[in-house]
Amino acid sequence: MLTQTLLECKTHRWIICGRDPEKPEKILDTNQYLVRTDTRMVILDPGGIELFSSMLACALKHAPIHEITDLFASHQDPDIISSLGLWDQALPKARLHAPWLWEGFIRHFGMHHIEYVPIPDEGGEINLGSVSLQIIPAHYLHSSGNHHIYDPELKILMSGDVGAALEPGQPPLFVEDFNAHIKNMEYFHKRWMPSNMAKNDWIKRVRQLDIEYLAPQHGRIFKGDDVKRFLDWFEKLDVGLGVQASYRN
Amino acid sequence: MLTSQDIDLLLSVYGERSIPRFVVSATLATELSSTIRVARWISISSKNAQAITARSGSWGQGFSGITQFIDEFSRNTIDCANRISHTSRQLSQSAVTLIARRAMTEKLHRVKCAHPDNEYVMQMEQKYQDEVMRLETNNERSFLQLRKLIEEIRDCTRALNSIVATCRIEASRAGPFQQALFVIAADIEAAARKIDERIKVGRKIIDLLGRSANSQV
Ligand SMILES: [Fe+2]
Ligand SMILES: [Fe+2]
Repeated sequence: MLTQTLLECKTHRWIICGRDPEKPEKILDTNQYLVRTDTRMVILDPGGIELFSSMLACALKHAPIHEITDLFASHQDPDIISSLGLWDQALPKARLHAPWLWEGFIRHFGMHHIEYVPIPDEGGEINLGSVSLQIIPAHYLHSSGNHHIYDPELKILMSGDVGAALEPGQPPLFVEDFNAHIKNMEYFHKRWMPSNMAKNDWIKRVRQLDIEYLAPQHGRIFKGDDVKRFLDWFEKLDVGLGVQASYRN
Repeated sequence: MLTSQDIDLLLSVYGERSIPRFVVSATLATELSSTIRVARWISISSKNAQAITARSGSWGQGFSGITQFIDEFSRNTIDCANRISHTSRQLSQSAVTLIARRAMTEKLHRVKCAHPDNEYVMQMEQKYQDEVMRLETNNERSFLQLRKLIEEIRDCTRALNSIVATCRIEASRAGPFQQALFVIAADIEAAARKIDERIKVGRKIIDLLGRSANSQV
């Protein structure tokens, strides 16, 4: 699995893990993000069960097992957190930050040792000692209980399925030509995102943040001006295509 | 990179639980991959020394002789560390699969107890039991292989260390090239010490792996 530091400062660094060449072909590619401080590490959207071995190896390159103290699940999907049962056995002492709404559902993946920290609907923070990450609500984008992570210091927004693109092969880490990239993400956003109201509410909230990197769970990362380009494009997009699609036949 | 104290700490942080084998073997893979980087550095340094001794005529003859051995031992170290990383990564993956197969066998066993006459369930349970046994045997084989490889790499670094010790002596005989060769000798010595430390940690992890051998995970 590829791993690369995205941004760093004195107190912490952001690392991406993904583009796994050992991944079974029919499994959707995912980006996992690590936030590493001096003594702790959080894994954001740790990924599916099939990816667990590669992801564990990748995480251990950046922190010993006992310093992986926190996991964050933006929502309940299998590509986000179906590896939980194995992390539960792997980690000596850890917390899972996930929407309160999904606790009873996420526990189906198996959780006996990790502590479930329910995130309220209005969001909150993940405190890693020297670093604090903000939890930004993103309900109905696409899941009904859904959050993103914002780092005010390094100006990264981990945006879960928002900004996701479905591209075959091993695409580059960053969006290089925004207009050319639209075709890779248009259907995904129209079909997976259910609500224009939720979308516009999220855009309003996110526009208030100073964002250098918008880092989705699938596909490429938006950098600099492409962040604004993405928000403008998403604002104009009519989502919830599934309603019409159900009448097509 | 972990220290010997970190390994001791690992034992205590799990408390009553045993450290999963897939964690220990993945940790070993990570630790040994840093050895590869250092051994590559030694190999590059010895090539630099070769370039200097090629220009130094009779002055660098002594040093030139040992660079070949250093290069050879660092290549062997890289090869050995690569094999350890590969085998321990495989063992980690296989230990994860074993967990899933054991869980399935356990569930099938419960179904069999509730429906003792069901032929299909019986066959399925047997199939999974066989798979569990096969994985256990394979994992044990990988563990023994790792134990052998870590001793092999230790022998290799011991030899490397004893050759490296003579680097300074040979550098001191290199006349006008003495300073340049001293720098390289110090570099190689420092790198060899780093490898030594990694191997010590690696051996501690192998011990841990041996202890986790019979645990459920
Ligand atoms: Fe999702
Ligand atoms: Fe997703």
